[in-house]
Amino acid sequence: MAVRYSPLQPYTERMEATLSTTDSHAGALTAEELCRRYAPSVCRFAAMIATSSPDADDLAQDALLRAVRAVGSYDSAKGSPEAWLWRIVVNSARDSARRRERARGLIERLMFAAPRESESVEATALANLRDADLHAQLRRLPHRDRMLIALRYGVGLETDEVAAAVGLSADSAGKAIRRALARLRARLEVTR
Amino acid sequence: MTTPDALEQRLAGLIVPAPDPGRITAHVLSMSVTRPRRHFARVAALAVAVLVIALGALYFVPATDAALADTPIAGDLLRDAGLVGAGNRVTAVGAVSTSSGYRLELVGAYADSTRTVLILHAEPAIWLSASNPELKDQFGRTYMMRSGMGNALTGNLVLQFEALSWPDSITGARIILHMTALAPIACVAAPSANSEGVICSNPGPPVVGSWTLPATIGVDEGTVLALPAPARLGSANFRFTSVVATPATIGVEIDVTGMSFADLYKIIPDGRKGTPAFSTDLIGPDGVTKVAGGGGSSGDDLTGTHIHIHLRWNRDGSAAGDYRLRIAYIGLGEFERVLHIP
Repeated sequence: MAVRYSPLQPYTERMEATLSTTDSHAGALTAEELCRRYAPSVCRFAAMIATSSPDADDLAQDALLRAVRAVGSYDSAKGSPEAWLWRIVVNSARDSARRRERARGLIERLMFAAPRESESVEATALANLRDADLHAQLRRLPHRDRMLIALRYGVGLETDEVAAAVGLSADSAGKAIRRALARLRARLEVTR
Repeated sequence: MTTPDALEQRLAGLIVPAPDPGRITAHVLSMSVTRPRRHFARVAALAVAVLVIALGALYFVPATDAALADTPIAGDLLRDAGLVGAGNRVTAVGAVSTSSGYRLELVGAYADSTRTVLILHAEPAIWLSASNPELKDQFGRTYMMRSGMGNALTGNLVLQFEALSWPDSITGARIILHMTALAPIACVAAPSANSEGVICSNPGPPVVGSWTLPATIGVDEGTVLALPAPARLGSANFRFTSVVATPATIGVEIDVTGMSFADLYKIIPDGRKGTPAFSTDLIGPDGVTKVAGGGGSSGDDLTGTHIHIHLRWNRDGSAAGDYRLRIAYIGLGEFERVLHIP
């Protein structure tokens, strides 16, 4: 027998299940509570990872909407709400990046060519660097680097939390963050 | 020795122009909220939706009894329209509009996946040059006129517009042809006999008026055929993207890379008008080269390094069989592909 799949019906049922689950768990994570707690962090993450302000808006909204729609499926036995949320946000960012994929090979190579400078020189240069300029250089990094830096420094997650969000071991995540920082530093030195 | 701390500290305290969390939250919550619905409410909503769709279909989908009706349209008109052999697929319309002393009749209409053809009769005869026919469908979409021809002696006109868009291309359409100006035409006996024995001219300014001619037309469904193999001429690559056949028309679309618009439209001097470097011919199963019914090209960018060509031939009553499509470029060579037309 042929079965015709209608995408509308499962979606409606899923939404109702989500909301009823949320409603019946007073004190548990609700859509409103999720937004109140995490919207500022998600917006900051989006601003650091997106390459333009409209993209940041789209990413923040898309990520938060995905989380809100899935809030009924959150199971506290499987981890903290933060870990659950950031996995959703990271997946959202990855999907967004795939849609806007661009060649960035040149930027990737810059880290090998850039010279190292003394601590005082870098500290002085960084002190004189405007936030807007640093943000501009950050936006030119590869998507994965921006994501790691945004999670670690923009949102303030610990390395193991970053690892859980991006699906790496804590050790690998730490190394990846250091490589991302090195690439950003190389870019800053090249443009100085 | 560099230290990551300074950079890490700057990143942690970096002030970025982030989206407003309040605005994003309000938007997200408004998008996510759906009220719990009872089963009967869903059924009722479904019933209402079905009713709306049914009413919409009644309004927007043309009556099938008017579509593709037999119509006694003169052979010369069908020949002018490239519809020889497909006369029984032309919808008889018969809509009449009179304004400023000019009577226009929309005699018939034909549409397929490559074009929309309107057959008109004007009394007295008109000149096409000052006409500005506007064709719209029931959704208010405007279709561009591609070509037109008129007979100054009989007053017959054939206007060809671009193909109907979806969903009209499936359901047919309720169309309206509107004209606001016509050019008068006057014919006198020629002092020395020419082929028609008359000389026609445009005696004055356009006649302003309002002529509105509605019609309901069906769409002659095309048969989508297997794509021929790609080919190469010099550095140009030809990739077929569509081959569609209807009882009246054969349409072919080709993506061309490695050739510019200048190459495509290059004229080789021959001491007279010149010869186009690029040419396409469709040879029917009877060995007769078909008359091109239209075509054109479009490009992705200013350099035109990626060109899309659409070609159309009138079948003129040709039977099913193997048609040979020959594409040639002077100096580069030629290739042929066989189209199996049902």
